[in-house]
Amino acid sequence: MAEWQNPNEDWRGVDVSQIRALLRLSVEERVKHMVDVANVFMSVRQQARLVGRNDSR
Amino acid sequence: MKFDPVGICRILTEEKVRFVVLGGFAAVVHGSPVPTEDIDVLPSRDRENLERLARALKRLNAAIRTSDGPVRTKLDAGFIANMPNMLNLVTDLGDVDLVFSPAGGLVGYEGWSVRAEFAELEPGVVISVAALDDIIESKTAANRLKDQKALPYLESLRDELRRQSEQ
Repeated sequence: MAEWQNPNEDWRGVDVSQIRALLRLSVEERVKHMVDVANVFMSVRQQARLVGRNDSR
Repeated sequence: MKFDPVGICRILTEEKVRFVVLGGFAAVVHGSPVPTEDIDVLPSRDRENLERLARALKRLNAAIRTSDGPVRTKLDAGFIANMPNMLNLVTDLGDVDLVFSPAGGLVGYEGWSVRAEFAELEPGVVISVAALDDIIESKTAANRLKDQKALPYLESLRDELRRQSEQ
C-alpha cells in the first residue's frame, strides 16, 4: 500500500469506516449528525476568512 | 441561516402532504457520509395534495430561490401545479427543492413510492424516503459532475448494506 493511501478506503476511495460508523447510529442520530455537519460547513463558509500567508521566507 | 430538514419534514407531515424525499438527504437517511445543504422533495401532484403543500410552504415562509436572491410570490396550488420540472425554494428552515421530474426511469410520486421506505426522523415525523437503488439510478442518469462525485459513496454504502444484511 502506498504511503498516501488510507487503509480504510475501499477500491472506490471511499472511507468505509465512516459509513459503518453512520450505520451504527439510529436514523434519528444519523440525520442529526449529518445535519450538524452541513450546518458547520455553512457556518465556516460564512465566517471564515483568509488572514494571510504562512510565508516563512 | 440554519438548515433544519427535520423541521421541514415535520411541517410537511403536519399538513399531511404526501411526498417522497429524494437526493442527498434521502441518501443521508440511508447512511451516506456525504452532507447536503438542501432537501429534495417529490410531492404527489393531485390538487388536494398541492393545496396541503401550499399550506406547508406558507408556514415555512417559502420564497423562490434564485441566484440573485429570494423572490417572493404567491406559492399556491395553482402556481405549483404549473411548474413542470422543478421549483427551488428558500425557507425559514433551509433550502427545499420541489422536484417533479427527477432524472432516471421512475415517473412521479407514484413511481418513486413503489420502492420508497419509511423513516422516522424524530418521534412523530415519519417520512417516505426513496430507495437507495433508485437514488443511485437517478444520479447515474443525471450524470452531472456532482452526481459523479457522490456516486462512489452511495455505491459503497449499498455494498456495505448488502454485506451487513448477508451476515
